[in-house]
Amino acid sequence: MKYILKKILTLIIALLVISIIVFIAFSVLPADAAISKLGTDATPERIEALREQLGLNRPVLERYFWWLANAVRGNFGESFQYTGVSVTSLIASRLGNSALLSLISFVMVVVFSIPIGIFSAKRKSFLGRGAMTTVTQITMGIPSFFLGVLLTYLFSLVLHWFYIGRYTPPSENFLAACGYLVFPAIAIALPKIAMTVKFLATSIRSELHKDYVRTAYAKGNTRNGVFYGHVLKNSLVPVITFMGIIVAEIVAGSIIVEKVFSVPGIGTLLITAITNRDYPVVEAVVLLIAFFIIAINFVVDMIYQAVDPRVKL
Amino acid sequence: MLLKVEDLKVQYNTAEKTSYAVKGVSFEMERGEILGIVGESGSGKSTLGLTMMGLLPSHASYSGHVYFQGRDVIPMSFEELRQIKGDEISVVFQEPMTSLNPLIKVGKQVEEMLLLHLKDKDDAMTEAPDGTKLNRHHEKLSKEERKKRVLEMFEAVELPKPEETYKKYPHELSGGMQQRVMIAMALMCEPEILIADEPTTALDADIQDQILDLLKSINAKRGTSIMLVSHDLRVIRRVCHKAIVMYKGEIVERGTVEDIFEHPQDPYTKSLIAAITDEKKNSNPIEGEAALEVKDLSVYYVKKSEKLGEKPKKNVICKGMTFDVKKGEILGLVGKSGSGKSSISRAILGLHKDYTGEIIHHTDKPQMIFQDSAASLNPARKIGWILEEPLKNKKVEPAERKRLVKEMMERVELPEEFLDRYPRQLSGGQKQRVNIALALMSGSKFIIADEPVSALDVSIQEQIIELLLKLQKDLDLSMLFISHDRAVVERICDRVIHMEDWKPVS
Repeated sequence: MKYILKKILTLIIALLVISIIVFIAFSVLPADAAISKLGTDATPERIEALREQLGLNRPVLERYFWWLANAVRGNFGESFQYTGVSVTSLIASRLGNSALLSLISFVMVVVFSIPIGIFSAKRKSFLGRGAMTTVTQITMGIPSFFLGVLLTYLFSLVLHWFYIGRYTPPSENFLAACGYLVFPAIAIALPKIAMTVKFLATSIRSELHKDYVRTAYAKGNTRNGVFYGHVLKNSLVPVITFMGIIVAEIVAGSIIVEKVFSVPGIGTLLITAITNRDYPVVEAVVLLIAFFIIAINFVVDMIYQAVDPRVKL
Repeated sequence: MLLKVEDLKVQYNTAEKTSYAVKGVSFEMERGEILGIVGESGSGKSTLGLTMMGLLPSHASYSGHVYFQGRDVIPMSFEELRQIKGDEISVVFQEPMTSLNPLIKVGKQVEEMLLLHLKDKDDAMTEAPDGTKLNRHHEKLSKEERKKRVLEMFEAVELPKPEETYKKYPHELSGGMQQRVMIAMALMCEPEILIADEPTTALDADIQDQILDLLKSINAKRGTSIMLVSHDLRVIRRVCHKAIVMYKGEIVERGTVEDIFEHPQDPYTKSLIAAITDEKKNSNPIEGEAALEVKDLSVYYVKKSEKLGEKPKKNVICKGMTFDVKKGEILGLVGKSGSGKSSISRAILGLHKDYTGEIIHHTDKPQMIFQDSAASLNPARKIGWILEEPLKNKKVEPAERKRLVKEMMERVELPEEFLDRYPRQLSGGQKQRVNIALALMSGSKFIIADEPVSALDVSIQEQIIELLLKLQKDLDLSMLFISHDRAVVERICDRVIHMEDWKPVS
């Protein structure tokens, strides 16, 4: 009970602090939504009129509290860029694409990293270990957006497996959407797979030296019996926490990758909104992502408690 | 003949060196026997059991023969040995907490034994010496039947509330109960031999006795042969029929336990026996001034509240404790691990502030000697530097410092060359001597020794105790000697007080 209250309190404080930081950032940045919308060629009178209309000429503090008062009621206002369109509907129309992309990336991480991690941990020879380390280190080092560029070149321009920009939303054709999103998902997931493989392999190796493993052998288990019956579950416990971090990184990493692959998602929306100084949109998207990451943290704690009987929250 | 070991050699090969753990050992063990294997750490005693179980680490190599019921287990493949492990030879280790899988309920862990050894045996029913039928046939047991067997075994090893214990995780049980679970697991398939490797070393004194009694009764009731590996001669004398004394990988003495205790032949065995007999210090109660007075002392910890709005809880360690340490006296403070002995010493030193009552020092600030001899010495400094440090704080001239340090080295019987060595280059016993020297360096006449010999081998323990007694006499020290080990306390202390007498009633 205390734990849940504590979590909720953390959530509220974190969201408040983040919203303030975004506001400060926007008041410091040169140019504002009015200039960005009308262009630098517009007459000062027109820009001033638009500022008046958008409320940009009022003091930052006043604007913040006005925004906050509406936000707590669930009203995130209208976009500056797209006149008359509510921020909520802007996000809603793109959320599905981003969620699907993150989900595919996460599934890829889980499906590939666990077996590869086990395979890697079982390499005993100097050569086998060296090879696994080299591969994971290199893969870990490639940034997702660069990998994205390579993948678009190879699969779109050379092999024509998909056409960049011709994305079908999942509401129209779910399979086609998945087929397109597989490629950005690879770009996001590959470095994360390498990290998880390394983490899991290290965890397995450290478990192998523990006393209960010796007991498991002494009981007359086969080698596989010891590994799958005793070692693996214990090795996966720390991986749960690690996966929480990975999910957060997938969400953060997808922002740029969406742009590289022209996926109309939250990330693309965020980047455009920042360029246009469209702060109601930026606030809402950033808060949404922050909320999601804190929620993931909570889920990880819950899973941790369910898996490890020693943990009591 | 149940077990026959012939010329067994085991060595550990590491990049730096090859160390010989067992150097050509031969012995035999009869059915129904309890054989003790005694020796200090590094004597190769635990390696014997691990070799029989095929549990040696991969950098070990070995030769020789271990005939178990006529079959040599040394050349056996992993699979052949696997079928014997747990079924015919089983083992109980020193640390029950870490030896159990933390994520699996203990009932399930014991039940696993039945699932692992599902093979037909011609002698499906064997008869124990007391006439009870033992079923050795574990094939096709239903889930309910398996659970029933586990619960029966829990009862046999005297675990309270078997049904509830079955569903517990290891961390929810006490050390003694965990070890009973380990024993239940080892006995599940009615093995021929139970190897108990220091089964009581990690447990408190009274729990130790219970576990040893249990092992004895298992041997009597079920006829299970037991190989009991221990560094503690008292344990061997209490339980075993025959014993082997090992020293540096060789057997130096063997025979029945009575023979070994009454007519020890080897000088090493004699020193071991001397260490545990002549236990009581014969001394007159010391009268006179007090060095330390403790009046109505209550030590507690403030525990953070679990629920919101609740007041912080006080976790009381002792209540109304009153005692004094006379000048020139060694007072023993005995208690179980976790009973708060060390908290009291911290309160006396002024390191723990949460207490009520009075602590009056009639001497200089007391100095401490700790259990872990390595942890209290700065690893980056030479012994000479470490010993000079307290004098530097007192602004003693360098030449005088050197002279005093040399004098102290002589007192604690360490060669002068050690002043140029680092702590890691010294053995555990030597490091503890340095700690004693360090405690005396500031000139304090009052020493608090917190389990100063618990981490040392028996023969080294004896030397350190002799040294402490000698120093106490020479320098007229007063000492508060804290230990869980009654035998050690009785050997060194003039008077003993018990933690239990001041436990808060809960």
